[in-house]
Amino acid sequence: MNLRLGLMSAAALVLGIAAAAAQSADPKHVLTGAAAEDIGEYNMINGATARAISDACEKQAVEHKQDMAIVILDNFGNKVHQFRMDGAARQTAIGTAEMKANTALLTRRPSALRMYNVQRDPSQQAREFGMGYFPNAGGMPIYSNKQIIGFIGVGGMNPTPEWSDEICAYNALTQVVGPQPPRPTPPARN
Amino acid sequence: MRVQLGLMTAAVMALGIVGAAAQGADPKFVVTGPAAKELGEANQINAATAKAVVAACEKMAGEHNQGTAIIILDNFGNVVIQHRMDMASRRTAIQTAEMKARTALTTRRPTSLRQYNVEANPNLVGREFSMGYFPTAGGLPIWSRDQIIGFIGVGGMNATADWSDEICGHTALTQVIGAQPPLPVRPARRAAQ
Repeated sequence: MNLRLGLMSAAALVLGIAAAAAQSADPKHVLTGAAAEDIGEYNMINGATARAISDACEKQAVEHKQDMAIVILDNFGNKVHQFRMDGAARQTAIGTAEMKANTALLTRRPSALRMYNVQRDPSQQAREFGMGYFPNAGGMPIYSNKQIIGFIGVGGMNPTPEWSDEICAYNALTQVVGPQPPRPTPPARN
Repeated sequence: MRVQLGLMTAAVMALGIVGAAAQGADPKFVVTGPAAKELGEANQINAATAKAVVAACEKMAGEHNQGTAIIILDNFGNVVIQHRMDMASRRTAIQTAEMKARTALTTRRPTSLRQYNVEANPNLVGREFSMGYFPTAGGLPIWSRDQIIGFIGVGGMNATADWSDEICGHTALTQVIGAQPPLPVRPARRAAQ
């Protein structure tokens, strides 16, 4: 009986550790070692991952013959990486990318959700801006497993039915960091 | 006589064109083609150059076992690229890099000049901050030939006698873009009174 109880406890412990590991960020994508120890934080996107996401999004933008600006914030809102392509050298691209990332940071949700709210009820617009949000698609949290490790904002591209700032960001995150929660669905137009 | 005059005029014109070309930024390092036409601006650092400068500075920081945050602004102050290494993931590194670059932008001079002014006369520190400057070395204009094409700010490293944020920025610019104006010389400290 005691042996059986012991085995069951051990199995529960192993399962618990496995579940906890699946919930925490993949060490490949976050600060580890001395850098993490120095700031007392183990869920912060690292420089190499941020740069790889930026490169992946840039490559796709080129394939779509468009130019974009991209910002990647860490999980506390500090900038890890920011870049603009030559055809997106306008504050309207660079500034909005940052505003989208900040909106995702403040809400911990894709900024598309806020845009869809405003589309549904335009009277919400003043409230959105008043709260410091930028209700436009292209900002989203960066998930590694079930942990948010940073935020991304992409701006400057002309959206088409199958291409947008948000899709560029989402695809880049999926390619570099792994599966992300599904993108919000736009509401049906009246 | 007329032929001689004509030849001389042509020679002067040709020299003038060569001189004008030597004065502008090297096209390798600035936005060109449709992107430049769209902006109406031909002296703006391009993305590939900015990326290369950041990579060069990051590499040197790694060789010095330090982490750094680097930002490059275009000639109007918009961000072209910003990156922080894992050992510089503190706001003090990231933000000071940007403040240095913006001080270089507003003054069009290396930020170490402002630091040395404050060191020489500490009463100036309030004036510096009230004018929106950050009087700390590490911000520099980016020169291509005799044209400023952007600004760099480097932050987060511990300075030693032969290594600093400013040296990292200056060396990276020299490696990638070419000769830059010499760094300001720190004035000799006054003897204790």
